[in-house]
Formats: sequence, C-alpha cells, structure tokens
Amino acid sequence: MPPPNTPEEGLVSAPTTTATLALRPITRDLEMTAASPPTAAIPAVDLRALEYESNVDENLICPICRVALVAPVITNCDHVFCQKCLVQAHTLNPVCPVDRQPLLKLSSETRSAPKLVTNQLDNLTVRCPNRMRGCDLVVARSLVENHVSRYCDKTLVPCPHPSCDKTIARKDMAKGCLHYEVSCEFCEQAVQKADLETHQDMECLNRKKDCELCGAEFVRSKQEEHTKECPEVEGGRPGGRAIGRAARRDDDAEGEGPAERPAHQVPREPGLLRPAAAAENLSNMPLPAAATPQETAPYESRDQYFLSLFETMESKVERLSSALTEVEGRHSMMLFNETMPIKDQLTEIRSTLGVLGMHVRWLMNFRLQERGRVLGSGGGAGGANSPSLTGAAGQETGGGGGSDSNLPRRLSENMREHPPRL
Amino acid sequence: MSLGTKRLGKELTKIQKTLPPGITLVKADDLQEWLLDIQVLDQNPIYAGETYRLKFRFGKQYPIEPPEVVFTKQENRPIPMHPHIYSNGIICLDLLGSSGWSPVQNVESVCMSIQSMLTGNTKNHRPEGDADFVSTNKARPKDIEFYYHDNEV
Repeated sequence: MPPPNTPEEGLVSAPTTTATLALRPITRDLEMTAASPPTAAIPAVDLRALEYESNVDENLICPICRVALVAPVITNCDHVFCQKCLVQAHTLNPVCPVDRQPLLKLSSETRSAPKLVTNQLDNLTVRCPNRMRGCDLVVARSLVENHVSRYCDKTLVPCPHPSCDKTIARKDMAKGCLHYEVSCEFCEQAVQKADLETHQDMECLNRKKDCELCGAEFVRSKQEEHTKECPEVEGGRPGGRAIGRAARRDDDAEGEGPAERPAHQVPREPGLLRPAAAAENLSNMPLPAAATPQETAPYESRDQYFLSLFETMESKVERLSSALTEVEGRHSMMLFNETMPIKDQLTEIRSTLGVLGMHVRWLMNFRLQERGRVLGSGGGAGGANSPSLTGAAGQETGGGGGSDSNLPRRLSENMREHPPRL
Repeated sequence: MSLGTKRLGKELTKIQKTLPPGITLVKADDLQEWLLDIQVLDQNPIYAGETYRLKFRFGKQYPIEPPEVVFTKQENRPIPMHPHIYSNGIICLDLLGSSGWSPVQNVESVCMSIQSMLTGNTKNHRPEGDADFVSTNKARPKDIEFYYHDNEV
C-alpha cells in the first residue's frame, strides 16, 4: 500500500497535532459505538493476580494475602490491610489480625489508608495481564485496568458474531467470527482459527524457535535435545520461555530503527517526552508498508490501521498528560520547598535590620542630644559675652570643644552603665 | 486464582528457599497438604536427637481460617511428649483454633510456634485423659473445642 501522506511529511508538526486533536472526539465516538457493548462484558482486572515488575516493598504488602495492597484500609491500631482481606478476616474473628486488638465495627474502627500509601501503590509497575497472549506492556498499576479494558489488543472480548458465545482477542474483532477449525500448516493439528497465531508462535512443535541462551535456532520439538547440548545451560534453565520471547521481540524492534519505535512500543519514560516531541513522533509514524508484519497483519483496511494508530496515540497522550501533571505537582512542591527557607531567611534579615536601625537611631539620638547640650551651653556663653570679648568667648568655645572631644569616652561610660536593650 | 492458592504459592516459594534452623520441608506436591519436619535444637532432654513430622492441611478458606496441623507418626518420626499433644498427634494450641488464629500467621510462623512450645516444655507426659480422647475422638482437629485451661506450658 502506498503511504498516503508521504508528500506532507515535510510539513511542520503543528498541523498534525491539530489534526489529531480534531480527530480525537471522532475516535472516541467510534469507540463508543463500536466497542462499548463488549467493553462492558470484559471482566475487571484482578489486581491481586498481577505480576509486578520488581519486588514490592514489604511495607506495601498486605499481611493477609501477601500481595501488594489493593484498596488499603488502616485500622485504629495503625495496621494496613486490603479492604477485602480485612473484611474476610473480620467475619471470622473481630480483632485486628496483627495485634488482636478488638475491632467491633469495621466501619468506625477503620478508615482508608493515607493518600501517600495509595499513591505508592498506584505507581507500582505491573505487566499487562494479557502477557501470556503476547502483550509485553509494563505500566503503572493504576493504569493497567484502563489499558486492558480499552486499549490492549490482546484482551479477550465477546465474539462479534451474534450467535457465537466465545471470546476473541480485540485485534481480531473486525475479522468476524474466527471460531472454526483450520489445520496448522506446520504440524497439521486442528486448531481454531482464532488461536492459530498463538499456536504457531508458542506451541507448534514444528515451528522453529531461537534458544533464549545461545541464540541457536531449532525446531520446538527438539527443545529437550537442544537443552542438553546448549553451551549456555548451567544447571536449571534460567528464565521462562515467555521472558526469552519478550527479550527477542525487543531486539527485533531495535533493529528497525529508533524512529519506528514509538509506534508499537509504549514509552517507558513518558515524563521525558514533551508534547511537541510526541507530535514529531506522530509525523514520523511508520505507515502500513513500513511497519512490522506483526503490526500490519491484523488490520484489514487502512482506516482500521489509522484508527488503531489513533487509539495508541490517545492512550499515549493520556499517559503523557498524567505524567505531566505528576511532574507539575512535584515541581511546585520542589519550588515551595525551596522558597520556604528563603522566605524565612528574609524575615530574619528584616528583623535584624530593624534592630540595627534601632541601635543606630539610639546612638544618633544620644549623640545629637549630647552635641545639642554642648552647643547650647557653648552658644549661651558666647551669646552672653559681648563681641569685643572674643578671646574669652573663643576660650569658652575652646573649652566646649574640649568637652566635645571628651564625648566618646563619656558615651562609652554611659553605654556601660545603660547597655542598649535589644 | 483465589486468595488462598495465590498466597500458599507465595509461601511455598519462600520456604523452598529458606526456612529457620530445625525446620525442613519434606513434601509439598500440591496446595492442600504439606509435610514438614521439625527438630528441637537446644538440649532439651525430652526431645534431644528426635525429628518430628508435622502435617499441614489447608482448607479453601486459608489463610482466613486456620490450617489443620497435626503430628504424624512414622518410623523414626514419633509423636513428641507434651502435655498439650495427644498421642494421636493432635495439638492443643490456641493459635490453631478459630479464635486464636490470625490470617497474618503462616506455615513458617506456625512451625516456629510449635518448635518453641516444645523447646520450653519440661513435663514429659501426655495430656490428662489422653487415652479416652484418642479412643473416642472422631472430630477433625479444627472442630474440637479445646478448653485452654493451662497457660503454664
């Protein structure tokens, strides 16, 4: 298929962004009309069955189910449990499971755990529960439900055929009912059309696969023989098949060049991508002809391909905006933390300045008074004498000057007697 | 997967890696019944040099409800002498009854409690009425209403 918008590729990214924004409501509408009845039928994600990407902190684990807390509640004795776990334990024995303090009524003696705890739980990264069906996404726990129920290609939804009551992966929705048997072209086993891809990828004994350890290629049925001779095996085989497959797919994706990555790889550090950068990526988006076979295969028409593209972008934008708000929040918190001490210092400096000013005024005042007194007496003496007696007057002022020069010493004596109050 | 199986799976992977000294995992082929061996490590003359076998049975409600824990008798695996342990292996321990159990407990903590219960014991005899109880009891250990009258041991 010729890439339809190749000539426009040179355009600035701005129009593309507006186009996406303008299209956004439409994709939403389409999704609403096309996918909302099946969405309702998708079972909710069981947060307890999720596979966490890294080890969860011991403090975030429910002591009853030993899994990262789900809907945590805290008792009056400060112990945290999953709400469901505590309710179950409470029906058997109305005490706190940890310290056996009586808990007569759950509603009055427990409350939901602090926001801090729920935030930490929300940020735990989990693998998509459809991993066994090929979705390798790693996502924050708070977003996984949304991903599975609305975006994940591998989610099982009811078969679109009205008289068929089976389920099918979302990506194959548009292909109609695939629940008829076909025979696998490699092993001739009868497989449901809907399961054919998974069968060939994961199970079919006559398909070739690469060894996760040494990279050698062999037919799957020869797995055991290869394990014996594989140069990399030491003791037990580390890593399951699924992990090996995921790693291999990552390698494949890297081989196709970085520009194509965003199309089928969900960014793991969404906080780093600015909206402008995202828009740029959009304009570099691979077109059906350039995309990986895995990406193009399920889409029958170009419209569908673009629709799925829009959905991916939409989910990406959603993730980005949530990351942005998070960053914003952290930023303002940081700013606040930094300005607070500065403000404190400022007030301190201001008060010190005030005290200093007081001192200076006090000193100046004292000095002025002193001088005023001396000048007053000197002037009075000078005024009393006639101008002809300038010599005497000069002596007088000279005396005044002498006392004036004594001022500092007296002042310091004075200071010692009445130290300035701070 | 229910709460119980998920948690038991986690417990199993943990105790397959490490267990406190004197406790060893013997058999855990499924998530219904596990066998563990315990030894009393200090030089308590009643239990020195002996190994005892504990049998855990997990109901559907575990860990909300307590597991059933008894000693089982085999060659080289006697029932330990203790004023709270009947000669058929049933253990009278409040921790294992519905009222004393807490879902925070786990297999490892129960083993350690039993280990310390043996370690601290000085009385080399069976509970009162042991012969009667052993011959007449048909109830499951969990359903027996023990009367926790004796807190000395």
